[in-house]
Amino acid sequence: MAYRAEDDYDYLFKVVLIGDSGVGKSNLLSRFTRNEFSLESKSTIGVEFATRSIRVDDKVVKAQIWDTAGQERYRAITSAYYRGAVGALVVYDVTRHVTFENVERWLKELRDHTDANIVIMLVGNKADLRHLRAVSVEDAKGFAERESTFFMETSALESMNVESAFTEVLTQIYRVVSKKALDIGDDPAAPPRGQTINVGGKDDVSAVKKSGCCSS
Amino acid sequence: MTMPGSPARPSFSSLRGARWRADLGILPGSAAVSIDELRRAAADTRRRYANLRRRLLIDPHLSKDEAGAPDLIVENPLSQNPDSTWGQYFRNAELEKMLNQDLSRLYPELGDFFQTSACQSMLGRILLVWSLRYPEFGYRQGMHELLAPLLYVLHADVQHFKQVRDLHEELLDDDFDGQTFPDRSKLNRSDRKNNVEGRTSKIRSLADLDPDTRDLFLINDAYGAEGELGIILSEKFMEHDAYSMFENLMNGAQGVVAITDFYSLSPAPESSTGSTPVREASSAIYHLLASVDSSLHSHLVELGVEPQYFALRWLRVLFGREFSLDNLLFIWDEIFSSPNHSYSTDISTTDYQFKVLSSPRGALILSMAVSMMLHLRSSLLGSEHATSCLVRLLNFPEDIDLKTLIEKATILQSLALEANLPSSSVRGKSLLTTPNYWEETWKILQSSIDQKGGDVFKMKGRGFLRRSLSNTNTESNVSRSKAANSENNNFTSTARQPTIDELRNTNVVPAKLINSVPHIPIEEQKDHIGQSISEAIGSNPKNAHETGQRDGYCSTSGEIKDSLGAASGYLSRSSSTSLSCGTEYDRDTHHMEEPCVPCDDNVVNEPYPHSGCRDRTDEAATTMNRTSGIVDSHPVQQERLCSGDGKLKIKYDQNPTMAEGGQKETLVIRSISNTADKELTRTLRYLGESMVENIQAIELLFQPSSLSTSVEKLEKSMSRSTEQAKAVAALKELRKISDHLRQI
Repeated sequence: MAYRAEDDYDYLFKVVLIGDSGVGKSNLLSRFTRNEFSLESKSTIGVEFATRSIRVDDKVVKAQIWDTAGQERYRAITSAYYRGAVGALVVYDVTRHVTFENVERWLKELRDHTDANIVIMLVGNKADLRHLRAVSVEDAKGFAERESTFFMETSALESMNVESAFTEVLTQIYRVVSKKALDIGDDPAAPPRGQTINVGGKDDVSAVKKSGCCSS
Repeated sequence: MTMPGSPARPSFSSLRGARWRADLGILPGSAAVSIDELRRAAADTRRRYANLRRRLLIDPHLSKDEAGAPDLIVENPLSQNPDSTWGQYFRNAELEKMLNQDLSRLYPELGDFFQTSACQSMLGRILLVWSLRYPEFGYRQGMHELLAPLLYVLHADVQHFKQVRDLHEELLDDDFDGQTFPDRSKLNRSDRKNNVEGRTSKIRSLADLDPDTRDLFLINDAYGAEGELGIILSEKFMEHDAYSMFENLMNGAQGVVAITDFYSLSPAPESSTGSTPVREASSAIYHLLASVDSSLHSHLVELGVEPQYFALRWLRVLFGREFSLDNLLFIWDEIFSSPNHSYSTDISTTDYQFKVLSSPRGALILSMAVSMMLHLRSSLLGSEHATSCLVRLLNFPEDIDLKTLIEKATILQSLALEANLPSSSVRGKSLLTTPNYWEETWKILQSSIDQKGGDVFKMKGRGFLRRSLSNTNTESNVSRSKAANSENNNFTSTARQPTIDELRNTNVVPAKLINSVPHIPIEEQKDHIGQSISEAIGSNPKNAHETGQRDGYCSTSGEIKDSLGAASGYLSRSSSTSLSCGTEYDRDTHHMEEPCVPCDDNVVNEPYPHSGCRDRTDEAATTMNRTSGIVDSHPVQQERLCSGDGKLKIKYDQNPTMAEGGQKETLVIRSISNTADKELTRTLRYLGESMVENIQAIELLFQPSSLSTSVEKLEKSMSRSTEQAKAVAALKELRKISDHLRQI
């Protein structure tokens, strides 16, 4: 049954996708979770959700990915959207420079609402549109270094780097989590410091699952 | 599909766009309005849009000559002044860019219509004009998807008219066209032509057409009132009409529900917590869900599924993303035809628990949401994480029974309206000691969703229940209900004797049940139901006789159905597995009950002098009637609401000894019941068997791999989660019940 397969994971991470409207967040998500891409996909209204499990080392890591409408940057969804997120892909469109300029604002909002340990990757999407490129790889790399985020260019259309972008983020989270229990002391909504994050049925706090976590 | 709130408009029966225009307040809603008035109203709104568009969509390259030379210091393309024509022009261009980005992604599956440049530019202009007209809201993603179906139905109307016109081409040929409608002499003269050509010889003039078609021609006559501007179904003014509809939908047209609220980011004025209207509405959805299905509600709350995560999209595009356009139109039919004014005029909207629930339209929208959630019940309960729940909620299945979904929503709508009245919480506590009255009511309603018969007596019960409810609303409730009570008793005692005699002759089982009702230790009000039920029988011996004559089986199955209803209610309450179980039972029951239908219809329609009429008056006194009979003019719904006494009967079944409690009727009951027992037993056994079948079906669902399922096995393999354990326990319980039933 589907719901039993759902249980077969060792780690459960919440990852958010943010970025301006039309940069291709939903297509990145559908490419990663369903291997689908649509040139004619509708704009996202509010939030959309998807999950996918991948294997890191010998562990199953389940990603819960929250994809928000680009226009929701003014937080109609409430800051609860970010609550419990341990990873983020901040997406821009390599053919529209303004979407790259706005990355800074997205990062600020992200950092205002999440834990300092959050794993962030800057993603330049639509890299297949080479002739229309408006943001150079160097610029983006430099920016990512300054902001100490990971960086990758992707193409959801050509299925380029999509898998690796998500996998990289999830692996990095896994490294952080498996080395030390994620420190979430700054988050008032989170359980007391020092305790491994409790999943307790509530999955909007991503964390290590059940027995698997504490021994490692 | 038309709701009683808006009178049926025969001329718009096949014109969804025109109907929606009436429902949204663009065209006069009353069926009595003349065609000329209709046309004038249409023309007025079109003029308005044309003016707005002229004023707001500025082209700085033109229009400078009339008002004299423009001040070139302000009015030039490099001007930094934001108020300059050019400044505005550039701002509009920005907005247009955003609109186009969304419009290009609109309904790709119906690109033949929506992706045409004509359609795209129309939609773009409407949204641009609207967001310039209402800068306080501006354009937000999703608005384009609210607008698109409006234009679509207007287009469909025009296409429909074209088809009809082609059918009756001869009425609109040159010979005819030179005259103003209705010119009968001229029309008749066109006979010659028709006869010569031998085409559609039957229809020779406008007067020969059926009224609908005639109206269709009259509202679309280019020579009627307001001329071309007054053509109701006009391709040329589709843009104007769509704008007006969109505007009224967005601002609610002085009604309660304004869709702009769902886009608003500022706190709702009525909110005590300072949350946005869409969050308020989302909480109202959970509130409503909690009152009809507390286990699903608490499951979602436990997982941390916040309602606004899915409700935001559901509400902003009015379910446009959850259904195919074809299905969506049916849902919008229901939503728009529900009045948007406050449900109860003597209560200010601020007194309601939830503002959005205070109009029938708002209540239906939220009920639709709850109905959708109930549809997903089992898969939601099977999900262990918020994200999996949200994935399900935002990927609503395509193969749905839309009719049932809407039907459930309309039932919920009436519950929602009543539950939202300021005094409802008081009522709930004082009158109904059941922990969750609305949930119980819903379960009973739900379980009887397919039932058509066997509700004669419930009819009365319901009337009484309603009356009791409305009584508590007044200050003198105690004395009044006492009076009613004694009145009942008097009446019953005089009327009972003949009834019982009748019953004895005919072996009507319900009499046993009904009379036993007072023995049941349940709150007083429900006893009254029983009394008024027996009173109903008593008041009409002929009726009782009739019922009996149709045979005992009929009545028995009526009772069985109730236990079934309760059983499925029980199932959905305690097992937390699947709502479909209930439905399956209902289906089974439905078969058993077929023979009852005619007899019930008979009885219901019988105008009894006492109970029937009085009930109707009682109904009138209740709040349910305040909005043009949302509930009461729905016969099917009423039947469902009536089954409020279903539980009582079941309780009797489970505790037969209680009925022996030493009241005077017991003897009579026994004598009646003996003869009916055989029938009853047979049916109960049948019930037990069908129950087992259904249980097996559920078990299979849990463990599709093994065909020889047993509860014990299930328990082993599924003990991991408490939810599942609960479900298994409930199944076990059900097994026991079915075993008992079969052994009877």
